[in-house]
Amino acid sequence: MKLLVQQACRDVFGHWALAGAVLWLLLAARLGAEAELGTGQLGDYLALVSWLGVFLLYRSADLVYRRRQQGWPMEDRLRDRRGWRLPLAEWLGPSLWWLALLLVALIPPWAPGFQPEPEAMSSHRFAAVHSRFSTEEVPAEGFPQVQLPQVQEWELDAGQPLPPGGLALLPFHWPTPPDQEGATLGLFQDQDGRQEAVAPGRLLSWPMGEKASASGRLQLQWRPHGVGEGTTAPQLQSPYARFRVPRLGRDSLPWLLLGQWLFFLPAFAFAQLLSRHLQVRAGFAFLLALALTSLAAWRPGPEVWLPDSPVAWVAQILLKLKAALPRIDGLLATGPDFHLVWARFDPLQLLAWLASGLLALVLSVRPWRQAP
Amino acid sequence: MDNAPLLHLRGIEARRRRRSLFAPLDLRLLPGERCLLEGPNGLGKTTLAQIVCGLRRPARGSLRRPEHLGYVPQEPRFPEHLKVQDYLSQLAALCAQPSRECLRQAQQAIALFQLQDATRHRIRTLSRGWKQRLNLARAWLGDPPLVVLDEPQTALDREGMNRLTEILDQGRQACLVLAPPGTGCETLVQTRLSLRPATA
Repeated sequence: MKLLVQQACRDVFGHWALAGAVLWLLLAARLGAEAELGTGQLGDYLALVSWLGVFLLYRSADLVYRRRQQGWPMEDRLRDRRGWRLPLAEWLGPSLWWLALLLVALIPPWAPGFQPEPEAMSSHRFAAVHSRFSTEEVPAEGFPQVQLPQVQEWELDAGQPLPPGGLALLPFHWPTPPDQEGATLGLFQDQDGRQEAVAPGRLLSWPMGEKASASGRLQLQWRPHGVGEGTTAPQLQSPYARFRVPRLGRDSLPWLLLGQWLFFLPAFAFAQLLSRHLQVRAGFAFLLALALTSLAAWRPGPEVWLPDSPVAWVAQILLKLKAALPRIDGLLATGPDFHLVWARFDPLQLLAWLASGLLALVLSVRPWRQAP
Repeated sequence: MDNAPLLHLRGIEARRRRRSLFAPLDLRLLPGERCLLEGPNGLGKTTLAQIVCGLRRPARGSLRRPEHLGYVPQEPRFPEHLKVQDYLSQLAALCAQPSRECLRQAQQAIALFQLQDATRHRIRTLSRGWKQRLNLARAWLGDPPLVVLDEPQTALDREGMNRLTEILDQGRQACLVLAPPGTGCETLVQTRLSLRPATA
């Protein structure tokens, strides 16, 4: 098995390809560090590193294709009764190379010249889902009913889980501010139970609690309090509502790269399965595998397509296919908002993704394989 | 002597485009026995060899064969970028051998077919005759009890054929040779049979 894995590694990546990969990593570090050449973000570096994974995806499909031309399946069939050694070795080849390249990719961001992310936080739009008024009626001892003043509730949705340490920035308009300067008009409370008295005239800077960050939804309630009792509720200027989240630094690079490694492991198995079963050219198997993995990592936006248009029809099919795949977009955290993408990571979905890769490997073993 | 056949074919038939290639074939090959199946081009000798090796299913009939056998295809394919010894070691590794054993088996096969001069050469640099020797060497890898040779004389010179005859004479392997008549393969075997065309 050791010999087979060694040869698969040699067949996946030659010396020239290795030199090219290292040069690419250096270029990626340069582009990731400099705002003049790239956008000066760690997410850019991660995106450029992930291209090496795509290259290995092609090489893994190509490995199976080339070996079919070289007569390996026949020799395997003659010698290995169960036929699992060759597919496993061929899958381990690109997987081990990918691990080695990612370990090398850990180094450049620690170079003295690499200083991306000048800002520690990034700001994003916080969409208001709804706001509503209500009056609370509370039974009180000795009195039939006490009617409390009106309560205002807002719900804001980031559309995804947020990294911890986030901050909601909410501008409120107060139609009837009190005469005294600095007086509080009411109490804000969120779903995590945090309360704060707020004076008008200032931007509400609200630290996101655990529940709010995990769900990406902030539920905020306002009750009149102090001098504000009897006054009207504030109005949220929703178009200007924002949330700020901390960017990930170089310290989190091992986890981000581990995510990329895990993302591509099943992808290699898919590419090889397609190349082996469909007996197609390497490029075609690669494109199919890339489409499949891209679909799993795709996060559809809120676009609305015209009904009955061909685009809408294709989009519906893609959405249905997407729904059948594990949601692993959080694994491939790249680009300007990579810290937000990383927050979408779900361990259960990762397990489902790895299980699908294992299934592809099992399907590559003899009983399901075509005769050479 | 053990009379249980090593290879037993019962009513084997093969089809190509819904047409039977040869008449139903019955064959018993005892351990150490060597047999030549002769037939003209296009009669399905290669198809039959693939059926015997488990690479193809017969259209009809049944067969019993040893789990491990060697096969010398008529048109061999190789990973041309590999060196001879590395390639043979890789093939031995497919049988789940430890690395040292793989190397030993490769060296044994190299010595058997006198490929020592080509050990460190890449396969792409070998002549057609040397490639045929490599084709034979890989079939003998791991000392299988049965070898199936599909037109083994292809590209072999007199010396090569003599060496193959010597190996077969000295070895304990049963051997099934498939070749057209008049190719000189009859010197390799003890019995000759003819593959008959299927009746319409």
